[in-house]
Amino acid sequence: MSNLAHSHTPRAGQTDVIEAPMLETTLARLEPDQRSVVFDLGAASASTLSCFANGRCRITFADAVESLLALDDTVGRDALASRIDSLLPRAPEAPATLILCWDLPNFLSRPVLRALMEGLTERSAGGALFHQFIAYPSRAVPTRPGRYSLRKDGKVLRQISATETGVLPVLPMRDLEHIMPGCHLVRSVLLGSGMQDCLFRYGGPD
Amino acid sequence: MAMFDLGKRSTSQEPARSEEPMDGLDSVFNAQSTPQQQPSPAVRRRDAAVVGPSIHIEGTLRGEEDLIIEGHVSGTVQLQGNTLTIGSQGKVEADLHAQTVFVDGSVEGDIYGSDLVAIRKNARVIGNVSAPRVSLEDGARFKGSIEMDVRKESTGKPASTSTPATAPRAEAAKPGAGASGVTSKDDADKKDNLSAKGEASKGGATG
Repeated sequence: MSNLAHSHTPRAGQTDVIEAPMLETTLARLEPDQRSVVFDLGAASASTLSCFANGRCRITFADAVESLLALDDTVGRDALASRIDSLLPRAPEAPATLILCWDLPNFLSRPVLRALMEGLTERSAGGALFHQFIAYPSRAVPTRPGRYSLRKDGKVLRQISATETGVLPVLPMRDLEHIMPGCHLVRSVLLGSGMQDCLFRYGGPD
Repeated sequence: MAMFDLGKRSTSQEPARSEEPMDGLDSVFNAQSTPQQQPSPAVRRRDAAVVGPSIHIEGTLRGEEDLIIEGHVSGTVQLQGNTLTIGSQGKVEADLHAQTVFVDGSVEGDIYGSDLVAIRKNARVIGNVSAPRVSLEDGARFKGSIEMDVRKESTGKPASTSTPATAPRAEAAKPGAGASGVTSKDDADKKDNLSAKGEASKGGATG
């Protein structure tokens, strides 16, 4: 990204633990006898899987981060939607109730992000929650998406994949809401990592 | 935490690794592995039929004994009540049905295990997995869904019974849980605005 203000150099592969109270509280409210359908945009993780193993859960790992980053956003809206549809696992019988976007939205262009969110909401139930780590506008963060997994205690393990940090050209929260069809921000919490722990709720199709 | 930290049903534990020697290949197709292409030592070898690396099968493969696939199979594999292993050289484009399924190789298709599906670190799986117990090793490439609520699935209850995850209320966010500041959407948080309850002054930046 050309408009990044580079600061210091993190170690690629370095891992840290993120306390994300919004996500932690959401997970804490999942009951073992409550059917949950979780959609994780990131790569499959043994730790994440084990976190949901005690309940009545279906979890989908899209493993779509690198493919989404590589998308050409100049191909037109329909072509982009079609491409994203092919990257996401086919719509399951059970729509998602919790979508884990991690920090991916920070690194996608507006057209790609819009098409992605449309694809995700098509696969989501009304009332579904979208969790995202959104970069705070003035804070330097790694310049590539991290690799995330959940821990049993509700905290998040992040593996840093970038070798440098910068201030990302993130969308204002209100613009982000507009890009996510039918979604509204429930709350966001600024974390010490320069990210905001954000929770959106999908109201369902119009 | 309601679901987290509760060990009511453990589905992530490692399956028992076979310590049996790699000899005794009672193979149907007499698989031979080169030293460079040794199957995973975790693969159970004894008393299992083997589809060797040079074998390509198209269609439905049925049986009542354990099977190891090191070759190429496309279609459907039905081994109800038995163990199916996709070896490190195995390439399968098929739906798999077995009591226990171990995957070390490549699978494109859905996997149904009546007991256990174990996806090992070198595996590559594109498809959906359904089993009461599923294990996934870090390093494995997996794209698809993992259904662990098999009892519900088998009852055929409609999917629409899924309950959306519950959004946290303001008071549920733990004080000192790492928030160094709070931003809230104006009208969305009329009832549960964290900042109004002094969360923003907690400090203790983490993350």
